[in-house]
Amino acid sequence: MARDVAAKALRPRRIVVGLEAQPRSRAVLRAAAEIAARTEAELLALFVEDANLLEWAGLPFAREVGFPSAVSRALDAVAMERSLRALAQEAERSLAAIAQGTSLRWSYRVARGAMMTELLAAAAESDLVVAAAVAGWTPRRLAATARTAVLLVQELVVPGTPVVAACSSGLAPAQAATLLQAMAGVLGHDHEVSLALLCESPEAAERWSREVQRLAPALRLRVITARDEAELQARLAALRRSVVVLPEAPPAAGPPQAARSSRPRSRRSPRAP
Amino acid sequence: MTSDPLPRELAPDALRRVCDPGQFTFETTAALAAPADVLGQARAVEAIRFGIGIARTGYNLFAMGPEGLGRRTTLRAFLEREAPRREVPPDWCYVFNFETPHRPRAMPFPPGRAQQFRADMARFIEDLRTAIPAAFESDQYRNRRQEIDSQFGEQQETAIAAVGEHAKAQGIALLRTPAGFGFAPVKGDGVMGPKEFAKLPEAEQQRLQSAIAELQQELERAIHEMPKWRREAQRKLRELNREVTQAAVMSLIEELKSAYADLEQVMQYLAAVQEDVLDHAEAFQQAKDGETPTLFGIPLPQADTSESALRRYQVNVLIAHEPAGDGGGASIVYEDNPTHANLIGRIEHIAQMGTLVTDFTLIKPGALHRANGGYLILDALKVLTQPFAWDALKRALRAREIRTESLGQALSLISTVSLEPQPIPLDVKVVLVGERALYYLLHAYDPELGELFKVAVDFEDDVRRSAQTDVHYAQVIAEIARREQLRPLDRGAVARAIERGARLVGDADKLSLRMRELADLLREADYWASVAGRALIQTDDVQHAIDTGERRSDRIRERLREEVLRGTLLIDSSGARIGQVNGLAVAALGGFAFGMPQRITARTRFGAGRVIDIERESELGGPIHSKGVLILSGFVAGRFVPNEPLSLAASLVFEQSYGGIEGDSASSAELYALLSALAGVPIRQSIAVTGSVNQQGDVQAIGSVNEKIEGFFDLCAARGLNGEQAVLIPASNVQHLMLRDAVVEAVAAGRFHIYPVATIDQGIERLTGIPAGERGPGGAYPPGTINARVERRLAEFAERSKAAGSERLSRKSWRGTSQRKH
Repeated sequence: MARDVAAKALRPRRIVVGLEAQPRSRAVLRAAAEIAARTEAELLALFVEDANLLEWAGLPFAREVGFPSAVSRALDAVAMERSLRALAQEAERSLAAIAQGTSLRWSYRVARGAMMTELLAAAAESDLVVAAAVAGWTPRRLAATARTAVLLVQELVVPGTPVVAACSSGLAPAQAATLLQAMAGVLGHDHEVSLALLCESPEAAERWSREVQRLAPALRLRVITARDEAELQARLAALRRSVVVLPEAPPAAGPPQAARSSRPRSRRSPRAP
Repeated sequence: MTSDPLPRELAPDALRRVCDPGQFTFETTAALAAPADVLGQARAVEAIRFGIGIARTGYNLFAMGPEGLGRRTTLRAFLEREAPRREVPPDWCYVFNFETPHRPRAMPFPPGRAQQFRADMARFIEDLRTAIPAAFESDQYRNRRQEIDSQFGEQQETAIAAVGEHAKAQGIALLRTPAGFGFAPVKGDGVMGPKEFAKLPEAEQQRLQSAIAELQQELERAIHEMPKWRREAQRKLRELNREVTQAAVMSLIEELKSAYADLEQVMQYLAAVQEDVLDHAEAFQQAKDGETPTLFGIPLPQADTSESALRRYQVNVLIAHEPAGDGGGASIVYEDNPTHANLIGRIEHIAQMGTLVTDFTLIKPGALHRANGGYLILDALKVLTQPFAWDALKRALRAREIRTESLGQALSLISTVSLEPQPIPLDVKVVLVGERALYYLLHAYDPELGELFKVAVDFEDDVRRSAQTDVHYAQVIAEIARREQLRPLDRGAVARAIERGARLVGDADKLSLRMRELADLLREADYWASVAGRALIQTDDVQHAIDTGERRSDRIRERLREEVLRGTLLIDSSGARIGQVNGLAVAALGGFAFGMPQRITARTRFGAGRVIDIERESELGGPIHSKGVLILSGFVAGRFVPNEPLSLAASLVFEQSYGGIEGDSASSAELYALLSALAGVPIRQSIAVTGSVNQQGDVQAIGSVNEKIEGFFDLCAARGLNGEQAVLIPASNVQHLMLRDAVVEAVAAGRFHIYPVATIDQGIERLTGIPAGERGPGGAYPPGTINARVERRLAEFAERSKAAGSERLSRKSWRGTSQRKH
C-alpha cells in the first residue's frame, strides 16, 4: 500500500514529446501517449520544424532521395515548408485520434529550430521528455544539458520490459534513486532496471551503485559500466532498447513530482474528453 | 331346323365356383404356418434367385408387373436374406486434394474407421491450433526472428551510414527529410543556407555541387540494394517458420501415422497434410481482433479466414458403416425420390459475399453411395420421370463408378466455383420395379436397358386354382393377417376371400395375386368384425367388406340404373321389337367396374352394300369396335346371296350413348339386331346379349362377363324378375363365371336364366324363338327360318339393284346420244 502511494507520488504530472518530420515520430508519439495515459499525466506534443531542412531546401541544387523508392526529386523552400506544415497537421490528427476515447489530456504546439534545443527548452516545465534519438546528442550531452529525464524511444515501449537508464556518476545517488524509482514506475512493473553508468573507475561505479541500491531497495538494479562515452553508446546500442537518460543536475526543486502551476503556451488549449 | 340342339341354360352350380370351407383342415388362420414360398410366382422367384446370385456386370434386375402384386415385398424378403451374408462394404471419405484442389480425393476405409479418422483429424488440427502458436510465442522463436529483423535493419543502417560518413569527409551532411534523405553542405553545427552558399567561391560551389550529385547517386545505389536484403530476410523468416512448425507438427502427426500405418492412401494423405501445414502455419495462429471491414459504413460479412483455411484439413465422411462383424452386411436401399441429385449425390454451395462457393466438405452422398456394395431398389417410373436421373443411373452402372456432379454443372447452366470429385468405384445391384409396358417400351427404345438390366423378373397376375393353391392362398391370408395384426379368419371367411380372389381376376379357375387388394379386403373385414364385436373374421365380415367397398364406389352405377328405371334411358326388359337388342357394356371408373345394358338398334334398306357404323361415323367408336362391325358385315356378305351383289344399306347404333364405345364384345348383339331388321322378326327384350363374333358366325369370348350379367340382372331385379329375363353369353366364357349369390339364387329359382351360345344361329333362335335354319340340299334355307327370311330380303335388294343398274345404264347411253346430238 505504502509502495503504491509512493509510486503514485513519483508519477510525472506532465510529459513533453518531441515530434519531427520523420516516420519514426509515429512510434515516439504512440509511446508517449501510452505512458501519459497510464500515468494520467498531461501530454504536450511539440512538433519541431527542422530549421536545417528549411535552410537546405533553399539551396538551388537541393534534391531529396526518396526512401525506400530511391527516386530523387528537386525541392525548394516553399515546398519544404508546405510539407512540414502538412506533417505537423497530420501529427496533431494522429494525437487526437489516439486520445479519442481515452482520458488523455493533451496539448499541441509547433516550434521551429533544432529538435533537441527546442524540446529541452519546452521541457523546463515538465517531468519527462520523450523523443527519438537525434544525431549529435549523445547520452552524455543530453545528461549534461537536460533538466529532466529524457526517454529516447528506440521502438515501441512495451510495458513490463526492463528500464534501461543511462547516467553518469556525476548525479547524486539520492537523486538517481528517486529518478530511477519514478522511471521504473512509469515504464515497468517489476522494478528491474539496467543502468548504464559512465564512470572513471570501476570502484567508484561500484560505490555509487551500492549507494543507489541502499536508497531504493525495491529496485532490482543491473549496472553496466562504461569508461568513456563511446563505450557507453556501444553498450546501449547492443541492448536495442529505449533508453532513459537521467540529467546530471536535476532542478533544485527536487524530485519531479513537484507541482507546477504554469501552463505552456499552446496554439490550442489543452483538451480533455 | 338346326341340327345342333340349343345349349341348355346354365345350372346354378356353373355360375360360381364355390370354395368349400370343408376342404380346410384348420379352424382359424391363427393355426396356419407361413407359406413356404411365394404363391404363384415361381418364374419371378427363379429370376430373383438368379439375379441376386450372379455377380456379373449388367445383371441388374427389372421387376415388372402391375401395381399391388407385392413385388417390392417379395424382392426385399429375398434381399434381406442375402444381404447379411455379403461382406460389409468399405467406408468412403472425401478429403482435400492438395495438388489439384478442385478435384477432391476419395478415400476408402475399412468399415467403421472413417468416422474415427475424421475425429482423429479434427483433434490433430485442434492440437495444432495450440501447438503452433505456442511454438511461435516461444522466446527461442522470438529471438531468432529478432535476429533476422535486426540483421536486415543493420544492413540498411550500415549502408546509409557509410554514405553519410563518405559525405562527412567532404564537408557534406546527410539529412533525414520527410520522405527520404538529402545532402547539404555543412557550416559549423548547422546546414549552410543559400546565402552563405552564394558567398562561397565559384570553384568551391562547383566542388560541393558535383560532390553532392555523386553522393546522391551513391545513396541511390545503396538503396537499390535493399530489396535484395529484404527478400533474403523474408526467405530466412519463412525457413524459420517452417522449422518451428515442423517441430510442432512432427510429434502430433506421428501418432496419426502409426494409427493408420496399414492404409496406404491415408499415409499418402497424411504426408500431404504435413507438407501443407508447414506452408500454411499462419492459418493456425489465432485470429486477431481487428476492425471489421466496412463498405460505405456498412460492416461487411467477413469469413473467418483462419477457420476457412483450416477447412481443407477436414474429412468429409460420405458413407460410414458399422464395423464388420457387428451384424451389418451389405445395405439395401430403397430411394423413394430418385432425382439426379438423390441418386449420385450433390455438391452444395454456400453463399459468401454474394457469390456461391463450395468445397469438398459440401459433397453429399446419393442413394448409389449408400447402396454401394449392396442393393438399390428404385421405381422405374420415378427414375424415368425425374430429369436426367435415368441417364445418370445408366452412366454410373456402365462406368461402374459414381461421379458426383451437379446438374447445373453437367449441363453448363451455372458457372461458379465447381468441383470434380474423384469418382468412387461402384459395385451395386440395382433392382428397378415397374409396369410391364414400361419394360417393353424401354427395351424397344433404349438399347442400354438390355445391357444393364439383363434379368427380367416377370411377376404373374394370377395363379391357377386348385385344392393345393386354395390351401396356399389360405396361408398367404394367414400371413397377411399376422403381419397386419388382424383378427384370425375362420374357414368360411377364408373361403369367401378365395372366391373374391377368383372374382377379381374374372375367372372361376384362377386366383388373383394382387396382394394389395387382398390385404385391403382383409383389413376392411377386420374392421367390420371389430364393429360386430367378433374375435374372428367370419364369412359375413368378408362379404360385408366386399359389399361396402362396392357401395362406396357405385354412385354412377346407381344413377345410370335410376335413369333407366325412370325411363330417361330407354332399355326394355320385356316385350319384343324388330331390329333392337339389349347389348351389355362395362364401365370402369376409379378401379370399380360395372356392367350396364345398352340398347343397340339396326335399320336397313336397299342400298350400296354398306353397313354404316354410326359410332364410327360420329367418331365415338374405337378401332376395335369398328373392326367388329366390319367383321359382322363380312359375315352377312359371306353367308347370304353369295352370288349376287350385296345391295344392303344398314346403320347400327348404340342408342343414347354419348361417350366413346370401344371393344368388340357387342358385335354379336349388333349382328342380331341387323338380322332381326332384315328378317323382320322381333327380338325378345327380356334377353341381353354379349359376345363378339367372327366372320364364320362363331360367338367368341369377351371380358368382364360377370359384371355384364350382374348389370342386366340388377336392372331386371329392380323392375321385378318375371322368369323370362336372361343373358346370352359366349359358351367359352362359362369358365369365367363367378357370379354374385343373388344371381345364382335367382337362376336356381328359375326367375333368371343364363344361356351359353356358341354360334350366331343359336343366339338368334334364343332371341326370336324362331330357328335360324341351315341350307338344305338344294342350297336354300328352310322357309320361315330367320336365315331364309334374311336371304329373301337381300335377294330382293339384289334384284332391285340389278334393275336399277340397267336403268342407269340406259339413262347413261341416252345422255351419251343426246351429247352426240349437240
